[in-house]
Amino acid sequence: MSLNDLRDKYSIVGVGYTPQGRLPDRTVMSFYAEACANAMADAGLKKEDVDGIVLYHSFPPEPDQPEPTPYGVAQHLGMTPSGLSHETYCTRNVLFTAIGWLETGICKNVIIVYADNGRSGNFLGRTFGFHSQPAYGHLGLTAVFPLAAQRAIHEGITNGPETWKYIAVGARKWANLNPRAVMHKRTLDFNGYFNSQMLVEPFRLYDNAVINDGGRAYVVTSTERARDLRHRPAIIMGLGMHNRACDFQQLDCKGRPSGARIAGKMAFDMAGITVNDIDACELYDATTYLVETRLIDYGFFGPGEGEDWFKGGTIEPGGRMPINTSGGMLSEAYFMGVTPLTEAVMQLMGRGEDRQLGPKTGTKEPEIILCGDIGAATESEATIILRKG
Amino acid sequence: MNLKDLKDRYAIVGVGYTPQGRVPGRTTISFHLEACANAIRDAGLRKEDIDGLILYRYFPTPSGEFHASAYQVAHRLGITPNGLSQEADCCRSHIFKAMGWLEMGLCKYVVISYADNPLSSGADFLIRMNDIWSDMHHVMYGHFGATSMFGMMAQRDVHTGRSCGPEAWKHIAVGLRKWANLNPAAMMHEHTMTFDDYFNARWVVEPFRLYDNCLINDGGRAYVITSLERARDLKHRPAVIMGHGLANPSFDDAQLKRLERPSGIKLSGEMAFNMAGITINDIDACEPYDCFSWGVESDLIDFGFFGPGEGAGWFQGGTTEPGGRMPIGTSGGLLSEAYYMGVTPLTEAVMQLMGRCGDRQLGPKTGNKEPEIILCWDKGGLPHGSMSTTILRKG
Repeated sequence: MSLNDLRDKYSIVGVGYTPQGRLPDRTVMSFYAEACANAMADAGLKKEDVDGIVLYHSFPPEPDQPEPTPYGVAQHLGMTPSGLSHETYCTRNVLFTAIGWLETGICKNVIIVYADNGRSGNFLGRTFGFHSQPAYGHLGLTAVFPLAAQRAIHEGITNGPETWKYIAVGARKWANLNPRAVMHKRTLDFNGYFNSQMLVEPFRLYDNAVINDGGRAYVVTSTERARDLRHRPAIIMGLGMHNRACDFQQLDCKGRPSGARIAGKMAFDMAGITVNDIDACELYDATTYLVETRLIDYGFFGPGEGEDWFKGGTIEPGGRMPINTSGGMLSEAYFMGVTPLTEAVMQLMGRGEDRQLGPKTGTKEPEIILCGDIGAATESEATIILRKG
Repeated sequence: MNLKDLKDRYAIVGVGYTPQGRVPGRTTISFHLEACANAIRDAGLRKEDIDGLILYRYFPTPSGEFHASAYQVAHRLGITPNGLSQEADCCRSHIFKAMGWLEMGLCKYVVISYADNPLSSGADFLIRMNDIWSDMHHVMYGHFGATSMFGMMAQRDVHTGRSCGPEAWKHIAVGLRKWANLNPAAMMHEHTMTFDDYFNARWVVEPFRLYDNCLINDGGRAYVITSLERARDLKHRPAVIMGHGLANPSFDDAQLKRLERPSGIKLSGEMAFNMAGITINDIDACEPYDCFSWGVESDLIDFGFFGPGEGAGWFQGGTTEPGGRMPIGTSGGLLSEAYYMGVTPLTEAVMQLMGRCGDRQLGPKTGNKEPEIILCWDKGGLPHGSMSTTILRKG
């Protein structure tokens, strides 16, 4: 069996939301349970129908909370799934694992879920400071991407903030159309972007994703089974994954293909399409810099061409290539790859409400959406191409 | 595709060993690397062939050691696999995950690895294990670790008469030790054990004495899994996966309704036997998940080898020992060889089916039947979290 044989065979059929933002009276476990329960209900499934659960990486919970183990989540839901898995760190194989289980018949319906208490807890305090890095001032997650970005600027791949401002402002405009988004009520213009505090040069505040409490889940199943469920399915046209698995300090921006380039090629080959067929993108925007580099790696424009490409509202409502239409991780909510993927699903299902791609937002009604999922400091990367069912 | 279609589709083609026991001067990562490299070489593959890597559960490494994440292991092996995963907790999804990736064409050869450095690093294994519990209130009641959790389950089983207690468990401990005595790599190779030794050993958590508990050791173990088709071109006769099952019944044992629900072993066993299309009468040997002697007795009941309360009788007379009619734990197992979670039993089954077990080789050497089919199992998440059963046959 080759990956390409899987084209269109599997679909995403339901999305589960929870409240999101600052929710200090909730536990992580409750977000897991709510997201999963809502995803199943949204799909029109009963929990007895769901026989697989895959959890994204969990951060250590606050001391007074139970650890969100996968069996703990299953137990809270009253489920005993055949397939159950929980990734340490941020390997992005989750959808592949789910599809592998569907393909082999171990499972019929699989939930993929992420939840966290990052806002009410201490998100950044819980993340990395690997080995001797703190001795050099590299104290946490925020510093990881700026290092790569500085290198990229030095190599001429990007000119930095003059391009990234479009990404930050564009995401915010979409968030302003999305009542769920953490930044829904806050507008952002270029001045606001440049005047925000420098976090780790060259990244300002708005170059980084929001941190929020909450959870998000989706259900994946065969396209065949999808036809009997509640919504029109979001069909998985293409999939790709690559793990550079390289210690971040040793990453060579220019010297070798990024995970996105390889994962993207796999996905586009499987889908049998090119970037010209893409109507919108839901990309992993933990930082603005990642969005720009992935668009380069997918072939939307070349190194150094970013600023011109983004100019004039390309990715905004009304633009020719809408990107991160929920507001993304930059302005909606951070649920790792579940953020971009679920938004793509909602858009293809026609459930985008005020931010629905189409006449409402002066954009093309989407047939095909390109999604990205990046893990850790880009060690693990997946590309998913979805089409309207 | 149907689960049954997976029968005989996949095989294990190589095993990687490392030094094991108390091995100072090493790191967890070094054991992962050595195990993986050895497994790849043992299979007759090169690292460029490996496009999938799955690690067993992550433990925080002791201070001074680099963390043993899947990326670190892949990075230092010098591979960039399409499929990369590391279980955060103790779900035993590894083989189904590998099969899924192989079936969908994401990978051609997947390495599965376990490694740890608890003895030499001084990192307390049982304390690190504690972080997987969803309810830390246990400690208020004096319940500090995995041992007491299993001990509680065992007391319950003795009370209901399901388990024969130490009169059954002594056979398990002593039997596994006899196999270890035939295995130079086993941590307890040079230590014999009699029933007296078993009963005279100190209590750990009643009803468990010392030899009811598995070892803790430094070291690593890995194996390579691929399609049976590809396996035919490699170095050894493959150990074919005839059947496999996975079940995740529950977690919190304080709330476990054991008597009302089948265990993960029972459920995953049924899946595996269904897939294989055989019964326990076709099994020639068992490689158990013997984290605790009581567990082996319980699992054998769940598989159907004997009924509740019949354990002591069934084990009597060396049933599971060299020369016995149902050899169990032929490397010495977790109790007497080395602790690598489910990788210990699975790799021993592979080596037995490949005919590579030297003095402990099932067959004329040990006075046992030459094995055609071996039953293995793997248990995670304390007694009833995540259980898998694998039935391997000679390729």
